[in-house]
Formats: sequence, structure tokens, C-alpha cells
Amino acid sequence: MLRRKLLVLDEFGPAGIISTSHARFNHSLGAFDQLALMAVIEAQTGNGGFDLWVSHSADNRLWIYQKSGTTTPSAAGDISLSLPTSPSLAAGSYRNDGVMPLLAFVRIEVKLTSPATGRIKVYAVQRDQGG
Amino acid sequence: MRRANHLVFDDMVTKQSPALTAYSRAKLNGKLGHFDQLAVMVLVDNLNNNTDGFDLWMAHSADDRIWLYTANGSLTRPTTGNVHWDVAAGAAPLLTTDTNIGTYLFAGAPLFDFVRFEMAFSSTNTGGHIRVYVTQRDQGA
Repeated sequence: MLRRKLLVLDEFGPAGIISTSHARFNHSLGAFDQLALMAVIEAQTGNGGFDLWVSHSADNRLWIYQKSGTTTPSAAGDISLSLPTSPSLAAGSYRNDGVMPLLAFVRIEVKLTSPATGRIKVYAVQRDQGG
Repeated sequence: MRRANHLVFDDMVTKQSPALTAYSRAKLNGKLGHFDQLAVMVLVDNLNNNTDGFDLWMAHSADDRIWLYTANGSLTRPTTGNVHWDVAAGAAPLLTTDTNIGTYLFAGAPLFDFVRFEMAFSSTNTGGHIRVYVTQRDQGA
């Protein structure tokens, strides 16, 4: 059932810069088994792309990207969107059903591909089947 | 176990052009996103057209404002709904002589915390009575 919702990232994204969810969410994001992320890009200028990567860690220090299984991110993120010329609204989702367990800490990285800029919001919805 | 059973839509949808899209009651959006498993039952009757198609789509959202369809993860509605009656030749359209019953059972990847349903007839020449029930289940304690 639904356990928690967090707004883990809400900021203006300059082109080409990787933004990471605040470290205070790392523990919370790893607390439950199922994780659904919704990324919304608004007030966009310039076409380009948007990628979101999920990475996890057991020590909150060294991070492994979930999609690639290595410390190097895959070229396309867990959410990968093509952004048309502005003005536009774009949204994408990532849904982890918890079949393959996550490490204890989870964080999110996002990047807008140049020349796109915009406001990025990432919501995390957590669910669990445990008691 | 079973957690809740909601009648999320119970109304006549009249024919009009362009075809009307009806939505489940907004006040239920939060409730429908609460549990992990959804079983949907759709009843369509009192049709005013000889034959037509019908679709019901499920969408979810984390902000109750921007909606992604669960079938394709996109802002763009899929051509075919999660419940679908097809008006194409040789397919299974709605019956005018009986109550049409459709189901959609969801137990997939985690949903966002708001869920809603959209429904529409395939043509602009059809109206009818639509009822949608949603049963929620959960495997948690």
C-alpha cells in the first residue's frame, strides 16, 4: 500500500548540468520496496533531452546506477525524454516493482541536454507489501 | 485482502461532437491511489446507437494535476484503452440488446498516489449509461 510521497527535487535545471536529489532523502528513498518516480519539466526553453538516473548505495557514499549496474550511468536514463521546442510540458515515469531489491540508500540524478533549460520536479511515491 | 470498493462513475454520457471524454470523480483520485491492486468493472448500457466501440483508460499522477497513462507512461492517451470494445469489422463492439460488462485487473508496477479513469465512446454518435466500479486490494498487513 501507499507509504509515502516525497518531492525530492524541485529546481531550475540549467542545460547540461547534473542535479542530484538532496542527500537528506537518500535514506528515505531506500526505505520501502516499491518506488515510482514522476518527473515533470515545465517552463522549458530550447529543445533537447531530459534524463533521470536512479542510483543506490549500501554506504551512502559510493553509488551504483541501477540501470547499468555500475558506477557509470547508462547513456539513456531510467526516464529519458525528448523535449520539443518550447513552450511545452513534458513528464515521464519510472516504476520499480521491488522484485529486484534496492540497496539501503537511493538517490536521483537529472540532466537537461543542451540547449534545453526548464523547471524540473521529481516526485517519489513509495509503496510496500510488508506489514 | 480487499480494502475498498468504489463506484467511481455512474452517469449518462450523451452523444456530442467531438466525442466526450468522461472522468471518474475527482474526489476519489487520492483514494484510488492508496492501495496496490485495482480491479475495475465497467458496465455500459442504454445505448442510443446501433453499434459502437468504447474505451476506458487508467492514468496516474503524483501531483493530481499532470497525468500519465499507465499503459504507456506518457501524457498522450493510447489508442486502445485498458478496457476496450472495438467497433471494427469482425471485432466485438458494444451490444445494444444487453448490458455490456468489461473488466480490467491491475497488479503491476507501483502507481503514483493519485489515480483516475477516463472513458469515451469511439464515435460522436453514441450516448449511453456508464458505471465503473473499482475494488482495491492490498498484500500488506
